[in-house]
Amino acid sequence: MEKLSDIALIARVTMLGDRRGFDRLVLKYQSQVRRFFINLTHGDAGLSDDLSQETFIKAYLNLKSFKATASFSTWLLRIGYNVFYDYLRSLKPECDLEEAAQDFSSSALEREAENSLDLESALALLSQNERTCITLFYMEEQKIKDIASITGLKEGTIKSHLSRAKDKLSVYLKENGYGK
Amino acid sequence: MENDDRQIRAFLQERKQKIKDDGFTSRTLRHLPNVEYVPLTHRKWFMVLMAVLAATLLVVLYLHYAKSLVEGISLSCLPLVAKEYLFVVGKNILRLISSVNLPVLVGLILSVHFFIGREIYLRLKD
Repeated sequence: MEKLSDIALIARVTMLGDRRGFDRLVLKYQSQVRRFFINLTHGDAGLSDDLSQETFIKAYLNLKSFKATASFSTWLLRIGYNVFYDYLRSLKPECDLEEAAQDFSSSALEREAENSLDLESALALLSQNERTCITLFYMEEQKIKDIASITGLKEGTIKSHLSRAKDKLSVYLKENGYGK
Repeated sequence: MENDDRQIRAFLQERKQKIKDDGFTSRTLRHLPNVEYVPLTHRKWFMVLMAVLAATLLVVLYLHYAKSLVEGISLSCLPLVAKEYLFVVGKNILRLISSVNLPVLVGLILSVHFFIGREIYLRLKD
């Protein structure tokens, strides 16, 4: 039903030229997209907003290419994921992406120490791919095949990222006495 | 293992933030480039398609009436022809109203009126 209402809104923009349809889509998905970026950028709200804005603009420009084979949120998060990796590439064009993300996370960790948010410290233990997979799976409640479509990784690779991330988080939770 | 999974899910779900809009939507919309999506009703192919559909509909209706008329005459049963004709006309008008969208219907009615008006005008002129 939700998928249908999204398709109706998209049709309003692409077929009737009514931009208000897109307003409603932004309003509906802004929280999910911004939260996704906040988790990827270790809580950098300003950067998350910039990346989210870029994601929505790209989505608007490519709205006609939405084929409705996946849900609109999966399609949007795939654009968001590409926007994030383009951003990482722009930071360090010649180096490995995982390395760029690691640098990025260590600078964010300093900021995080002030906030002492346990979610940030838990996610900081994970590699970039593990963090992406775990937040998409548990927070955004995406299926593994949808995560594969968002990240372009194979389902087997995603399962192993999830398994490693779970091991690390489980140790973290035990060490911090969570759930006792 | 299952317990770990439940614990991780609970930990992440508890910390899942519901981010308030705080003007984000309006800021984003201000930055949207001016890409004008041409409305469907302004596209040439759509107009052609609607014209073809309307023409097909007219032909189908015409054939339907003609068929029932020919059948009736061939049976030499005039009351039945009239009954069948009225039934078919009524049924098709109802079907037309329920299936055809309003602009097409208005278009059809206007064209019939135009045709009748033109005929009357030409006869009066002569």
